[in-house]
Amino acid sequence: MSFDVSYLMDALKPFVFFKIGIVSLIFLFVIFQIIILNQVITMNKTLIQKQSSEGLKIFSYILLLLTISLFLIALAIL
Amino acid sequence: MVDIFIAPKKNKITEISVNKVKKKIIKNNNSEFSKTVYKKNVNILTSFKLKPEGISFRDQGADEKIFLFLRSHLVTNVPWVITVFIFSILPIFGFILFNNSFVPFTLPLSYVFVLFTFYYLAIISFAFISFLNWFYNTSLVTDERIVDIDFSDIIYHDVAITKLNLIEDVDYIQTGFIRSFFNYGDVFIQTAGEKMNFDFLAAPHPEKVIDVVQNLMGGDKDVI
Repeated sequence: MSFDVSYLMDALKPFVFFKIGIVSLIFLFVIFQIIILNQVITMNKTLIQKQSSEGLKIFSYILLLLTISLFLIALAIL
Repeated sequence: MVDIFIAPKKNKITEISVNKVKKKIIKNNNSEFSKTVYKKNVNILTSFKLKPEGISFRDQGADEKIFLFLRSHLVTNVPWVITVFIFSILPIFGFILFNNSFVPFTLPLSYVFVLFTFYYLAIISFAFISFLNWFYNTSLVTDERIVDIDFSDIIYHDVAITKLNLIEDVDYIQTGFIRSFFNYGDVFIQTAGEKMNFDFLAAPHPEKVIDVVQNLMGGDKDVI
């Protein structure tokens, strides 16, 4: 009895592991950005500094959006 | 009919000069006011401010006034700024060293794009976290208590509060050339409360901080 492992060989093309590695790394980075955003929101409740607090919150939102975009791009083009 | 009272004619020149003086006073007052507001408003890079405006904290009392706002001196940010700068220009050296590729092996263009973007996103995030560490490590001295907010590495934050009447001792240490040059040092406050020590690390003008705290402990609210 023999097993056809050709599909496995196709899956193990060059860069497959590399691709999975990069995409998972970016995914972890998305989670990390969400943690940053949460912390910024929490700290803004502790210390309210007009304008600056809002600015930091907006910046962390932008960072999160950029990371999510990069994750989607990585999924699409890699 | 004889006039009982004749109003003196207004001297136009005197009137004009009086008006000019009035306008000047108003102008000066406005500029002084705007200067004061500007001086007292806390901006994103402020590290020391007496009687700050535009800032408050959770659980602040309705009548409670903040007398001193403190962060570490701005100079303490230099190490991470240099690190960010070095890592930002590192790919340029990669391009020079590895013959128009920022990695020592051949990669498809899509991988290069994703890695490159990820690299710079990581650098921006590192810079942002380092800035947040500085920004949220804040100390406040109010007319009732001392609030010490510690924040580090995103996952840790601690808010310690002590009443002014619980303070036992205040002192500061300023050692080294850079600290003396930029005039910042570590202020330590010993209390009789549960948290024994409050420390304002790398606080600008430590001698003024001590003055303010001691004055407030003595009930003198005219700290400036």
